[in-house]
This record gives sequence, C-alpha cells and structure tokens, in this order.
Amino acid sequence: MKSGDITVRDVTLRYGGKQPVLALDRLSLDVRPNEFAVIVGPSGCGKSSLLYLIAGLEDRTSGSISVDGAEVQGPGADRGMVFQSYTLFPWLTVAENVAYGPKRRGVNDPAAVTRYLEEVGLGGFAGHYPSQLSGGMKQRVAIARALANDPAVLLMDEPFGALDSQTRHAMQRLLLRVWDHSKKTVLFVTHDIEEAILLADRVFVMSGRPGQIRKVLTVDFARPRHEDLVLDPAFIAMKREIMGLLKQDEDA
Amino acid sequence: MKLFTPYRAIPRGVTLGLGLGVWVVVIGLWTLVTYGGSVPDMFLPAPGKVVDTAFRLAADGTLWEHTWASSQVVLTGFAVSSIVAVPLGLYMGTYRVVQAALEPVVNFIRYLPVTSFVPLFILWIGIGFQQHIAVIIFGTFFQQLVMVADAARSVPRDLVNAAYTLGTTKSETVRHIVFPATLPAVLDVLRVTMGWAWTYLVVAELVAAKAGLGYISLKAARGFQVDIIFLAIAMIGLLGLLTDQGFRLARRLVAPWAENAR
Repeated sequence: MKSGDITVRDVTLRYGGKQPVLALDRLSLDVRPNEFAVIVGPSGCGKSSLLYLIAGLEDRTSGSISVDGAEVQGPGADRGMVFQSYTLFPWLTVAENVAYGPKRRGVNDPAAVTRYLEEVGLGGFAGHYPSQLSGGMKQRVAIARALANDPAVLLMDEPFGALDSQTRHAMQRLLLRVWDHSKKTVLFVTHDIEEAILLADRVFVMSGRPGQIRKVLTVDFARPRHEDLVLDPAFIAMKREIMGLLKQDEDA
Repeated sequence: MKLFTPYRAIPRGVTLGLGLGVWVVVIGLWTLVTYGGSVPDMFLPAPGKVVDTAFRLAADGTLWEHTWASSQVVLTGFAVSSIVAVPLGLYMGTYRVVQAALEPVVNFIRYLPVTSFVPLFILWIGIGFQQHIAVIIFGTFFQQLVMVADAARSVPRDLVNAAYTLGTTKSETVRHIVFPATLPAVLDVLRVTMGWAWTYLVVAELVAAKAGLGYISLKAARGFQVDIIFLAIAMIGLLGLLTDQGFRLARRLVAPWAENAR
C-alpha cells in the first residue's frame, strides 16, 4: 500500500472573467505520509478548489503542489478522489466500478475487487447497479473504487455532506477503519467541525476568501475514537476554538 | 382521484385500456361518418374498404414491394445519418472547439426546410435511390447532431473528473465515459429522429420514385384512390410504431442500468 506526502507551496488561484476573484492567496500546507488531515473552512473559502488543484482537475495560477515528491501536472491515478456528488459510473455494476481504475492500468484482479468491497461492507452488492444503492452505499463504493487504484493519497471533498446524520456517523466510523487498515494519506475537506475533529490527526482551519490557512491544530485524542467524544470537555474546547477561528470572518 | 395526481404511476390495466379505448373511439367515429354517409367515399374511405384494399394488395404482393422499397430508403438514410451524427455529436458536446466550429453552421442548416433542397439534390445527385436517401439524411442528420451534442454536454463534470482521478486520459474520455453515460439518451435521440425520418419519406419519394409507400399514395391521389392513400399512411404509421418499439427494446437490452432511474 502506497502512502505519500502532499506539499502545497504559495498556491494562488485567481478566477478570471469580468470580476476577477482571488480564491486562494499564497496558501501553503504540508500533509505527512499516513496522516489523516482535515481542512475546515467557511463556505466559499476555496477549500474544495484546493482539493481540485491537488487532484490536478483545475489549474493553479501560481505556486507549486507536489504529491509524493512529484509536481502535480494535471490529474492522475496517484491521487484518488471521493467527490461530494455521486460519481459512480451508472452503466457499470458495483464490482465493475471498483475494477475500473486497475483495468485502466491493465490489471484484472477480481479477488482484490471483492476484498475492497468487503472492506466497505458491500460484499453482497457486487452485481448491483449504482441506481439500486442508497446514498451512503454509493459513497462506500466510491471509497472502495478510489482505494482499489492504490493511490499515494486519498482526497475527499465533503463526501458525507449529502447524507443524513445517522448514515454520516456510520460512514465516519467506516472511513476511520478503512484508513486504519490502508494507512493512506487522507486529505479530507468538510465544513462540519465535529466531523473534522473526530477524523483528523491535524485540522487545517481556513480563512474566508481569499483562502489561506489560518491555523493548524493537532488533534491527539486516542484512536479508535467514539462519537461520545463530542461530549468530552477537551473536544468541546477544541470545537470552540475552531468556531472562534471561523467566526473571525463573519465579524470582519 | 389518484389517476389525476401529477407524475403518479397508474395501473397497467388502465394504461392498456386508455390506449385501446382512444383507438376504438377514433375508428368508431371513422366508421360512423363513412357508413353513416355524412362524408363522401371519394374523400374518406370506409374502414372496411381500406382493409379490403390491404388484403388485395397484400395478396398480389404490391403492398410488400412498396413497403420494402420505402423501408430501404428510410433505414439506409437513417443509418448513414446516425453513423456520422452520433460520434460527431458526442465530440461536439464534449469538446468546445468542435462545438465552436460546427454549431453556427449546423444551427443555420437545421432550420432550412428539407423540401427546398429537393431540386438541388436532383441537380447534384440526379434522380433515384441516392436522391431519396439524401432527403432522409438531410432531414435527420442535423437534428441528431444537435440532440446528441446536448446529451453529451449534460454529462456531470464530476463524473468525468472521477474518471480522470482513476487514470482515464483526456483522449479516452469520449469512448470510456461520454459514450456509455449518454447511451440511453442517444438511443432516445435515435428513436425520436427515426420517427422524423419516416415523416420525410413522402417528400423523399416525391420525385422520380418507381416504388414506395410515398410513391403509391402520390399516384393514388391522381386517381382519387383514397383507400390506397389511407393504406400507405397506415403502413408508414405501423412501421414507425414498430421501429419505435424496437429502439425501446434496444434501450432495455443495451442499457438495463438506466431503467430504475426512470
């Protein structure tokens, strides 16, 4: 299992047009191998854009991004991504979706596909089409599909944003278990502070537009973490700190 | 009334009953006005007479001969048009450069009436089979192109992005993502434009045809043989219905995954 680091140096993103928008302003961050890093920020701060830049799906205006030592030039299979919207290929079965990435590299390993599906608890759904699955199941397949490609890093753009809170908690547990097994470097974007603290080794708090990293917090609650952690005074203190950091934008 | 709730599914029996019922009413009215004598036989033949004519022409083979001739024109024209329009439309909807190049001229041509090009086709191609299929191609190609391009354009961006992050290259995008993603929509475009192709048949056989359903109805009009015109129209309608069902079946077979989504 590969696991790489992410280095973002002075990245600026400016959207052109009649009214140019400075979305990201000389933003820098580092994610270590095997780390679970979470970015929180107010909506519109450019946190999703940052993820798209690292994935190579958008072009940065300036600055440098490298993953596992290699400069990012366009998208590639070394950076797996799970999107907020459902992006399973509807014409492929669940198993075929998971097998898609390896197949592009000429690898055909049905046993591995089964293993990844079982990892996300969907061993019995290999032959189903995405339209037959619930939202949570679709995102589980999306995680399995990204992992099956054995990427150096896993980028996750609010993957549980569209799910109800029950499913969301189940998905967080599942993701932590999968991460514990695979030890992939994960960069996870969310606007949910509790989700950020529950999942993260480190939380990167972003400022409002133009987006910059306002503060980096190290989360050292013992793993495995339980949802009851949200009632822990230390947890609440950290949540309050992040809320305060995000609030600065509202007051400004 | 549950039957009158917007978008609510209705029982299968009701669907069949309504579909048949309207046909019964139409044929019933037709029977009433013809046998009742309120419309002269010269303008509107009685249903019985059309059926008699159908049996007569089916028995001596002329019905099949003309049906076959017309089917060849429509299917050939439609196939030639589709083979070019579908891939080109997919590229037009996916690549902005292709769209920018083609769209202005395509949107100009597709509003031109097909009939106005019949004299030109005769001048360029001469008369005969090629000229007939040219009319069908001209009538369907530009519509297909625009509709397929629309389908390709509506593929969600993140679906393509997800494919990129899984190792799909830009040059593979149309074949691996856009084509399968739009397949049900493309089959619907083919089904709809196939219907249009049949409607151009009479225009195609307007000039210098030696056989075909359009040809016999034009000839029949000169001899006031309204029953033959009705028969030709009914055959075109039946063939249209048949191909329509064929495309529906093809969609179910080729893209079973899209059935639940409807």
